[in-house]
Amino acid sequence: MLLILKKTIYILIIVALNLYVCTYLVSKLSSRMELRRGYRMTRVGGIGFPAIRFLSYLGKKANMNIWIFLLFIFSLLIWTVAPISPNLVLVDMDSSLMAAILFIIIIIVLNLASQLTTRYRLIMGEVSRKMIMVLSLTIPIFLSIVSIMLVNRSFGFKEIVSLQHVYWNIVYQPLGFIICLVSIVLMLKIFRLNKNGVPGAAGFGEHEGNGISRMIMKFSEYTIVTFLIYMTVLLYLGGYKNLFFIKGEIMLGIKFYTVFIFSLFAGKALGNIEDYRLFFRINFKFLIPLALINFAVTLGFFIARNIYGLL
Amino acid sequence: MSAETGSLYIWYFKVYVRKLIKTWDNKDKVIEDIYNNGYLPPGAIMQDRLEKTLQQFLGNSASRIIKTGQDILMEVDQEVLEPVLTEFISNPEISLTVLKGLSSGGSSAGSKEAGSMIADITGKNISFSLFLKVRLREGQTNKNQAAILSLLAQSYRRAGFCLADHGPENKLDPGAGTYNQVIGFDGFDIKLSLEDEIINTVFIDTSPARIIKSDFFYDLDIDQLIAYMGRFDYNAGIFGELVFCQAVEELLQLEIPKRAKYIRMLMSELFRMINHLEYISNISNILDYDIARNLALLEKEKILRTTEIITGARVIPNYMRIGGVKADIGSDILKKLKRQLPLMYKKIKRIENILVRDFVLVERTTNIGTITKQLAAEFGISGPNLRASGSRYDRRKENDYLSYGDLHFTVPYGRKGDCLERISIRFAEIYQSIKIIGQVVSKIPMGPVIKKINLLHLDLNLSAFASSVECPHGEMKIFGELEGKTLQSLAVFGPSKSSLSLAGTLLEGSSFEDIRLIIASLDISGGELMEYCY
Repeated sequence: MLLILKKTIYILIIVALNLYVCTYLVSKLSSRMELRRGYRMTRVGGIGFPAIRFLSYLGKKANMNIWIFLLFIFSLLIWTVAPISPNLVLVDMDSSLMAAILFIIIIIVLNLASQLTTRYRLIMGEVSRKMIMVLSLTIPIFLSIVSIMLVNRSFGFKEIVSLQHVYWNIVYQPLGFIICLVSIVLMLKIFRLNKNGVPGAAGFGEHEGNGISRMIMKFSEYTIVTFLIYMTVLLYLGGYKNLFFIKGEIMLGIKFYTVFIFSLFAGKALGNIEDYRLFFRINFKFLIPLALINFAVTLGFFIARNIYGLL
Repeated sequence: MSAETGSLYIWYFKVYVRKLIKTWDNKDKVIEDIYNNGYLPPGAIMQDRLEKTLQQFLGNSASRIIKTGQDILMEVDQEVLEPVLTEFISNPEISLTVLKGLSSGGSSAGSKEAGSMIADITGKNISFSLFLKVRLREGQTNKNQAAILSLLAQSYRRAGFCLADHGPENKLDPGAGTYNQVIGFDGFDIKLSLEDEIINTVFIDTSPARIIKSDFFYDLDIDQLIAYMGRFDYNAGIFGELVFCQAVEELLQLEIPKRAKYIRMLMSELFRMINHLEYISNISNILDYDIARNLALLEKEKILRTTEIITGARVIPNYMRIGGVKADIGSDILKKLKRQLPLMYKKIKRIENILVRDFVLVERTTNIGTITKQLAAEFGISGPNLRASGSRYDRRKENDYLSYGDLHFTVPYGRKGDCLERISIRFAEIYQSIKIIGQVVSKIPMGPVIKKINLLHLDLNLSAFASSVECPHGEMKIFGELEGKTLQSLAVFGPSKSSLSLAGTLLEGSSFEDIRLIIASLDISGGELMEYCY
């Protein structure tokens, strides 16, 4: 029991620290690229900027509902299935990958549920629109993950990571890795994590939700993005495997932040895709077909190797 | 050789020499006349013709028809407005079918008049304007103005926008609950109703811009007013000053020094670049291209620093003076500017490559907010927005004000008139501005920068003045009346008003995601929407 408590506390600390560093990096990178070397707020806050932002959310009036509460719970629960090191995992099961996929879908659906009514009498609010886009972006990611499952013949994170002791999965599945990365970059653009308080395409946007409920929604958005990056690192880049003398946990951190910073920079060079038509053209005419091709090729190899024993 | 023949030769020689001297004198005079714009400007013949035609057909209805600068002023009473407008539209010899701007006369507190409205009307192939000044009836000003607007709306589509904006009975009830309000624009609000995220009806409310009272220019001398004129276009502050000074100079028949003209051109082009870079950064911000936005702002900042060194201010320079400019530009600044130009071109080209070659931007902006040639003419659109829709019209080429005739530059124009075309036109105009600045810097003559005149002893009868310049948003016009030293009325016709009047038409039927993009692509400056007296 004490061991579980200890693990829970460790995981909570790691998640909180990562969230803090990610928020800081997002604001710092954006501000460094600005003309005047930083938003005034970032300069005032410095390293404590995420904390100031957190407090500023608390100071506002909030309309909480049951969906927001559930969203918070599930955004934390998702970290129970992903292993941070071989021993530091709360729920160690064989089908942890399936559970992770399920958790992501639940978070997106809860986000949708919490924002289905809007004060602007639109068909959908800004948050709902974002979430539907993100939901459709998860399709290519899941197709790539299924391909990984076929390659490694496993549903569990730990097994897949341990199978990468010779070559990382990126060697077998380069296309899948690219698809995951592109989807994550697009998600970052959709969430507009680097733009605080900027109104959306039509000027509605940020008025929806305030105070602690808005903070939880932001937290869930961070969770989706960071968890997907974490999943990509585990599935494609060897996860917490040692690299020569460098310890696995340190390698995991390096890989995670490399992918995260790369996604941030790539997002800076891209335009936004909040426009529905354009978004679906990119997703359904480029990403999903590419993911399907990747899946079909992998399936072909899987059948040839495992059923007919050709390879 | 006899003595007679000899004297004949001498006589021939004398005649030849006299002839030679006469021609030489004439040559000098011709050169002088060209320099002083002694010859009629290209539009003057058309202006003469229209003035005579108006005298012939509407001489009885109008209280006066006179030339003001390169435009015509026609003053009528409110009672005779209807037949006058009918004549404008139906008479093929007059054919004034485009309403470019509409403004209140803005009579000052010391004015004798009850109030007036001024309409800037022009034809399709005419490069000058007819300022129709309608004197209001005695009584309620608002009611009279609404009546005039409804009469104008029958003849001109553009006036329909003003009627919806100002007319009391057409105003939507903001508390009705069926309309969504889009906020965050400078100087106006948009209220709209949606059906399946497609915009059904749009109502643009410019009441936030109606902030100046009728005594805006009360008790101010005309030279003091220059500093305030920059506020009419705060994105490119120099143009308000320029158009005002130019109008007064034209009224006083004042020829400014050549160096001052060149400095004015240089400043105009620098501010044009500043405005266009701001436009690009706005578009990049809406489409979320952070890198392009930051690069555009960086370039803007560099030019702003140059203008700050020259004028001492960044936004509202207060640099123009009646008769020239406030201060000379040092040769070191000019040299530095010349050195910077190739680098500036390279960097802006880089921004263009990031933006216009990106397929996401191309897909997003193609066939959105399309302005056809006909629509542009109906609403009196001018400037880059007009040129993007395929009309090659530029005041700098048409009117040849300042010394633009001495310089080589082309007028870029597009075809489709959609958002992408409008963005590309801005880039092309920046390159032309760089070209102009390069020429100005190398050709700038030495000499004084201001012709000093004493405005204290100015004693004029009531006389109207008007002028126009090509500002970055389009054609900026000014009309005013001066008596003695005091202004009696002043109307600034900013191009943004025309663009905004068209915005409603463009937004109807488009997706609600495109609102910000369409409005930003029209480059509407909040300062130009400023109005008084309503």
